[in-house]
Amino acid sequence: MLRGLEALAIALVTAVAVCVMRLELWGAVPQHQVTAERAVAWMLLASDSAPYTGELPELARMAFGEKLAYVRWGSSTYGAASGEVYAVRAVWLGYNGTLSPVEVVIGVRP
Amino acid sequence: MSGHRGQLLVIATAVLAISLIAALRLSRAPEPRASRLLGCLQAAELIHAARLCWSMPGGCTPARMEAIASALLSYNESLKLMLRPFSYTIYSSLAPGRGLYSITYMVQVEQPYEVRFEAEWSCYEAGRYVKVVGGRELLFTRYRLHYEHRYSAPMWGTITTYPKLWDPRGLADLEYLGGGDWTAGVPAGGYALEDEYGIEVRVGGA
Repeated sequence: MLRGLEALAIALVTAVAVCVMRLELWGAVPQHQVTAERAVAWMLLASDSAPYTGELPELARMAFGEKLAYVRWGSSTYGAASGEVYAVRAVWLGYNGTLSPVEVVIGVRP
Repeated sequence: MSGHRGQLLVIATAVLAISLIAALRLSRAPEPRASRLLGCLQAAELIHAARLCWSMPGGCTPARMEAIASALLSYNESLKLMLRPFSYTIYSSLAPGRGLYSITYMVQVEQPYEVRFEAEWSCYEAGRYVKVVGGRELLFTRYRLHYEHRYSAPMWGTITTYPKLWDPRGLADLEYLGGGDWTAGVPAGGYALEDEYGIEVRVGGA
């Protein structure tokens, strides 16, 4: 009977551990991606006009420094994807009273 | 006997592990951590949308905000922005010597939270002077003006910024004093300045 209980306990602990790891580790967003998204959030708060006035690469450099790999907005590109790079996507909706959405993709090194 | 003790030890360890994990889960903050961590970019998109709406000529109206919100949500799928459904309230208040534009969002998640954009100013008269403009003498009123933006979200609390002001018509005499404070000399009888985002700031007038 004790062996049965032991087996049940081991199975229970394994199930709980798998659930916890699934929630905390495997399903979690990598911390560096969270950090990158916060930096893009800062860019959005700092400037409505950057993608329309050519200032977006400079703004991205201020946000990411040497971690910046590339910036793509509309049909423009700054930098290049090389090595391990992951993308953060955002949309600038317009500026100064004009609705004119532009997709922005920022490549960031970990 | 030692076998029994070993088995009891395993059971005790299992019970302890389950108890510890349960206690840790109970002690965590109730707000889902994933949405809070992922919400910075989404909240910033909402602030940006609100700022754009108020920068439109004549200010933010429900129709304009609807168009902006629709545009934003249309990118939700293609860019995987992970925006949650939201509702919003547009509010403005204009009175002699003060003004407020705001949009408050309620983001519909397991535990709804608020994101708010506010642009607010206050001013008082600090003197009058005559200025020659285009060969004509015009009466100008000098105001002491304070202007600020506030961006609020649970992810970062409240961020206060002091956008630059300017005069599209080039008549005003503006001097920045720091901390959102300005002196503004404008034609008497009320005048509209703009901030760097294109939001109108009415100074003086009835």
